[in-house]
Amino acid sequence: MSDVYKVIHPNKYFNDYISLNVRPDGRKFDEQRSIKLNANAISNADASALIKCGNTTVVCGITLELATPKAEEPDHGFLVTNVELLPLCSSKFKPGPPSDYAQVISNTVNDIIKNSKCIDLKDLCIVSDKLAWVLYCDMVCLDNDGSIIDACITTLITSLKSLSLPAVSFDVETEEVKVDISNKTLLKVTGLPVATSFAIYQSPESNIVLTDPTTFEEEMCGGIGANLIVCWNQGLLCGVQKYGGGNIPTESQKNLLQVAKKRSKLVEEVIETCLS
Amino acid sequence: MKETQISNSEKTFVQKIIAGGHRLDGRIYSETRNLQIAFGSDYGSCMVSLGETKVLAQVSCEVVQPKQIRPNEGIIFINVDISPMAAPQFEANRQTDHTVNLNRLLEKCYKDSKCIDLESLCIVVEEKVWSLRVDVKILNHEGNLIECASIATLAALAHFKRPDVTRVGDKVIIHSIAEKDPIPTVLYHYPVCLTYAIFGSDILLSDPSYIEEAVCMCTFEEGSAGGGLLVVGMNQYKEPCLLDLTGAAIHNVNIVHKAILSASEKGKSVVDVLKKAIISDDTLRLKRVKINYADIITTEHKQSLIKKDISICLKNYNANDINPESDVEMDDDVQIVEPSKYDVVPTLPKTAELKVKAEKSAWIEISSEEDD
Amino acid sequence: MVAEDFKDFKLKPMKCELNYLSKSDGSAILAQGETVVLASVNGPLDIKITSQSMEKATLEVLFSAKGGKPNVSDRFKESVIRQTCETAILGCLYPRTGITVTIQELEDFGGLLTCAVNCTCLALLNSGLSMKHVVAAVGCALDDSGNLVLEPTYDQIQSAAATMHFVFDSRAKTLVTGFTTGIFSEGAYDEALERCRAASDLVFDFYREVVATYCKVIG
Repeated sequence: MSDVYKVIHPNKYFNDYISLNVRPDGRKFDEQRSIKLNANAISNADASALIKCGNTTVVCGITLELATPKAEEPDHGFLVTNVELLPLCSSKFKPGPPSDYAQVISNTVNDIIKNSKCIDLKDLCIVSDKLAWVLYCDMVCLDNDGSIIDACITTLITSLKSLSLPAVSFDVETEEVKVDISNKTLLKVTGLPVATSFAIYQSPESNIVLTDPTTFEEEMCGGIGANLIVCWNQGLLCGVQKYGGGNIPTESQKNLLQVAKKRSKLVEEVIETCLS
Repeated sequence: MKETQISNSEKTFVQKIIAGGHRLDGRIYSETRNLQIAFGSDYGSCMVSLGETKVLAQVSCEVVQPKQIRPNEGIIFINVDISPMAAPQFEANRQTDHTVNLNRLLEKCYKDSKCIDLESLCIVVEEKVWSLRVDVKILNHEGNLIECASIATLAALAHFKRPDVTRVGDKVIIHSIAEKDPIPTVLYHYPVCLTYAIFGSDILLSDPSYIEEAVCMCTFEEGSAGGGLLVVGMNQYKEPCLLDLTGAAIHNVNIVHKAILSASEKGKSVVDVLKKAIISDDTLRLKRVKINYADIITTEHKQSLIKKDISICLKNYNANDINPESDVEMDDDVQIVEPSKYDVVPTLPKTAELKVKAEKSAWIEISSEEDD
Repeated sequence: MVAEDFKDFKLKPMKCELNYLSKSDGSAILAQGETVVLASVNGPLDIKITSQSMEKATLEVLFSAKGGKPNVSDRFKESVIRQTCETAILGCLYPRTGITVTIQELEDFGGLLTCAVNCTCLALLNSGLSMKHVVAAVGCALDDSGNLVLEPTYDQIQSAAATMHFVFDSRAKTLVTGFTTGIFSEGAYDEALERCRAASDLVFDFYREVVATYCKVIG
């Protein structure tokens, strides 16, 4: 019965739950969904991870390649991140070139990783101006049920943590490249950036903040792009983003950052346990 | 949004007044609108306004591999973008016939007329040449886009300076503007496109406005000759380098001749204005004056309602012609409704003048009484 | 954090002209310091049936850089401005129509996106579309020694440890949009937010000033 109600009058359905201080899936406003994380899920990739945050499932695979660095930055390697939202993960996405939404998600993930400075691109350079590593990090969403950026960042960072680079010898004279697969070193990752999404619901009385929203909740709160994303790394903020949607009530601002901080500690623990 | 169709009454009205020797904005047939050229902070960035039509042009450069058939020549690329900013009927990111036509005319005028010294853009034969990209953005479409866009393209190209390069062995070093003075582009001649709207068989309007363009392309009533738009590309040496006609066939041979004669004068004056603007901009830059688009913001005309901005100002109905005093002058047989406020003064025989009393008005008198 | 502490700050000089373009329903050109942006608003318009929405007007934002090919960061700017404007426009008054906002960059000396948001808001005011509230964008940078600089210049942004941009609404001064780059502490974030919130008053005052001067001409 409630399913029919949800379809014919989604706003009322959602508001009825919220007015009783509970969310449609039974969570409290500041409660997050449970997380399942698995490292090295894909044997073909050089490093990989799979995450399930509630129903949101994202898999990340990193492949390595060698290339010549750009002329402007001869001692920098490359970190290329890409998020794919296939028709498989939600009926909203159509096959074909990436939608505007997918481009914005890709851009956000890329920005967070760049801003957190967890990877020093200089570590990826082998010989200045001649040879550098390219890390192709492809994230594929298998099931989109909200807070996709959180899931993407966590899988990406887990994969990066578990990535080891083979030793490479480069002959300057002959420009010959030798890759020694038996001798591998772990990639240096500083800190563990963790993103937390919030949706802001504009109820008639006041604005309510929902931690780790599902797709349905995101839709009720002004669309998929309107989430607040807070990213913590080693006790410092490395990104607070919000584009439109409901306004954040001033009084809950501080609280939000604390909730995100607590969650980042928990997720960090999950990653550590998963990799140990 | 679909383009608003021009109504029959508008069409016949415009046709009639043009046949009568007038134009909607009060210009004479051969008069062009006010031309203004403003430069931005970068080299090769300029905004040209022709009346209310506004076009932004920006030249950028990069080093690329030359084409195989022309290994010692640089590349020039012109890209025209008409966004919904120009007028609501244009759609974003869609190439329309209009855009393609404009792009092609500009290419004809600047690429095919060989006015740019492409060989000077070569750095290493068969390996590295400069590629210039001209981005033309239409900001406001009030008619005669082609003339405005061509002046903008020419101004941007003439204003543009590319970074200097030095060759050390195999390596090519590109110097930033701070390190070495940039190099201007060599232009052999300065062609501009001038547009003429043809009405009937012998009327030639230079710099047609939006509505004039629309009306002259409309099908005329049966019996009368069709009209069209004639674009003439002309350089400062009075040499034609482009002719393009859209619309009905021309019956009168003399009209093309007339247009070319007129264009040769106009083209030279436009190039003179343009050269003057670039020279004054260069001297300002030498004095390290910061040039910025912020300078074009004025607070002079605040509303489109003031007289200057009203595009319709027919000579016979010009607001300036109406003498405000004529309201006061009246004939003697006019009935005076409130004689208390006015004095009737007989000035000449059989003439009377109506004047406001020289004393204070009654309104103030009452209030002063109340104060007492 | 007491707002009075920051009363002495100044924003970059702002200069604005409305009705800059005759063909658009509303247009504004805004200079904030040396950064200049031109915005035009057309709407409500008749649009394709596929992109019509039953509930509200479909907002389309186009950002066009000065030169060069369009890229992903332009899409990002469009998305920021669209999301921000969607909260401000009362779209439910214009169902099954489209509103097109076109933004043209003219000069970029830092703070392009904040200038673009403010310019768009002025153009919306000029177009006469119904709005819930107006929005004001303010940016600030955190330098290496931890000092906050409001409305940083181009050089300051290049050397900054972090930059933060905030957009506030005019009614309750709550945060509509915010985005950051770089790493910063929670304290710095809070301080920047409060400072920018206080500074947004200056932008709202400027809007009022602009609208008032243009109203006088009619009245």
